[in-house]
Amino acid sequence: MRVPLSPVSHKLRVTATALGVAAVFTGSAFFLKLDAVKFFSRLQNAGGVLRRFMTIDLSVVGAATAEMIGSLAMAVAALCIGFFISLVLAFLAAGNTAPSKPLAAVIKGSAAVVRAVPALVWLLMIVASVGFGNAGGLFGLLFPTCGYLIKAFITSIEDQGTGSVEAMRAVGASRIEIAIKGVLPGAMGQILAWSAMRVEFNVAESVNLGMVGVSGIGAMLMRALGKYQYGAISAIALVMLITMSALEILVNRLRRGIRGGK
Amino acid sequence: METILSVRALRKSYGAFEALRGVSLDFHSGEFVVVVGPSGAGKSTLIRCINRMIDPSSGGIEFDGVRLERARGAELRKRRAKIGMIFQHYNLIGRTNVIKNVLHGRLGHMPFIKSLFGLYSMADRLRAVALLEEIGLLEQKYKRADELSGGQMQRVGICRALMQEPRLLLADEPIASLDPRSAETVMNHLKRMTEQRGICCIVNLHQVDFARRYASRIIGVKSGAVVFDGKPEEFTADMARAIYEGGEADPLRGAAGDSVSDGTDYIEAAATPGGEYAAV
Repeated sequence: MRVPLSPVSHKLRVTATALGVAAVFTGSAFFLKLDAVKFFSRLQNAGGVLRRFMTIDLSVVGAATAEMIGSLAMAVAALCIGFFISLVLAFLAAGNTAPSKPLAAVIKGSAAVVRAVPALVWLLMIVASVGFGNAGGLFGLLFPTCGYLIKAFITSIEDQGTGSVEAMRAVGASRIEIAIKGVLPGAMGQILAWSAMRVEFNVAESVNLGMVGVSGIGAMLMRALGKYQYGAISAIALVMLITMSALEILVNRLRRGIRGGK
Repeated sequence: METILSVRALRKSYGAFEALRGVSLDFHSGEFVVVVGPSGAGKSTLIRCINRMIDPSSGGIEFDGVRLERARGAELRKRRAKIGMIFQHYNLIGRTNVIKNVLHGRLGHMPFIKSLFGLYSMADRLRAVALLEEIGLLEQKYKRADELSGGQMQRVGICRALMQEPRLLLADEPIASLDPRSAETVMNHLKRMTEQRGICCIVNLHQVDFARRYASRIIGVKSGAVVFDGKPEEFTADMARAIYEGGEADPLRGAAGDSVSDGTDYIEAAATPGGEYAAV
């Protein structure tokens, strides 16, 4: 007697999915009119370009580091402000703590819109309306920061369930007391972990910020690119690489520390 | 006996489903009232309408001379602060230590700025310590609440409720998640501590034998209406059977997967010592 390990309908579904994925890929490739021959013939040029990048102009390292610190400062400042804005909005929108359902829906909806639009578009829109400079950059960074953190914080707050909220309501506590005494103790670990994670995104976006014209290391990189100063580009890229790696290690340590403290 | 709480024609419906169909009851100080009835009968809804965790659809709730169903905002919080509540799942703040959990009972009684920074008065702190000592958890006072056993958590829950200096205490299935011995300890403490303080205590229970042993008055609820209200000795086996018969399916019993098929068996199982938990 044959004993199939999964029902036939399941096998059919797997096969259909695989065929579907293959069809979508083929369709996409045709749509883009990918020309492999041309791509590979041009790939030969890459060697020459890469060779030029192999020099590092150490004279710009000092300036690049200073600009990197500027970018970091912008990222951290946006995170700090965004943290508090997001925390308040998340408490107003989370299912177990929201005072009104329509308000919660508005907050969740707005955060979703903010997330749906790429961060760079927000930056460009803000810079276009309030002008270049650090204030504009900071303001622009707040959008993607809050869009992300509001959603993350809502999840962490909702994870705490309704029990502790109910108990706090029953003793006659106010909404703020419920949030601070009843929900935050349990949610804080996750909230900090999300924020630590967001540091990395913020630094990456603050570099992008420079590329659209605000100060910071991104602006420096754009200038070097414009002048084909390969040595300087390499040096700037190196500073970015080292900073981002160090940041990632630091953030991971932080997150582990937060988890360990639970 | 002074009437402390009057419930009049209380109704609550969820869409087409009527959880409470016009309940009228008076409660007096010093009473230990046990509300029994099958799951879905409206016990929880009744208790939660009293302190407005759930808003009733219609009817009146007069507590301490105030119409609770009309209270809003700060006024409602002030009234709630005088009503203690104990939950089936304890609802302690797990990451917070025991003494702070007990002191949460004061949150409704103090100005916001003080509560924000945890500036509980020394008198409150001493009272929290005294309560913990009385209930036998003084050594655990700096332990995190989520490190305690279920029975210990529920005792902290009692302390938190008593910390409110309530005139009325509501307990929703306080022992449904506990083993028999812890359940007994919790019920003993609850009975003794509310009796000493002359507090009116309303307890929802699943276990009829516990109701008979502890209650000074039993209220039977079935399909959202009061079908029995009297002394424990008047609560006969026939009465219990009538309440549980044809009651809505009990999810807890269904999950246990034992042979209990209807309300009759359930009551009999509950009446034999040690049998109550096999049935639940």
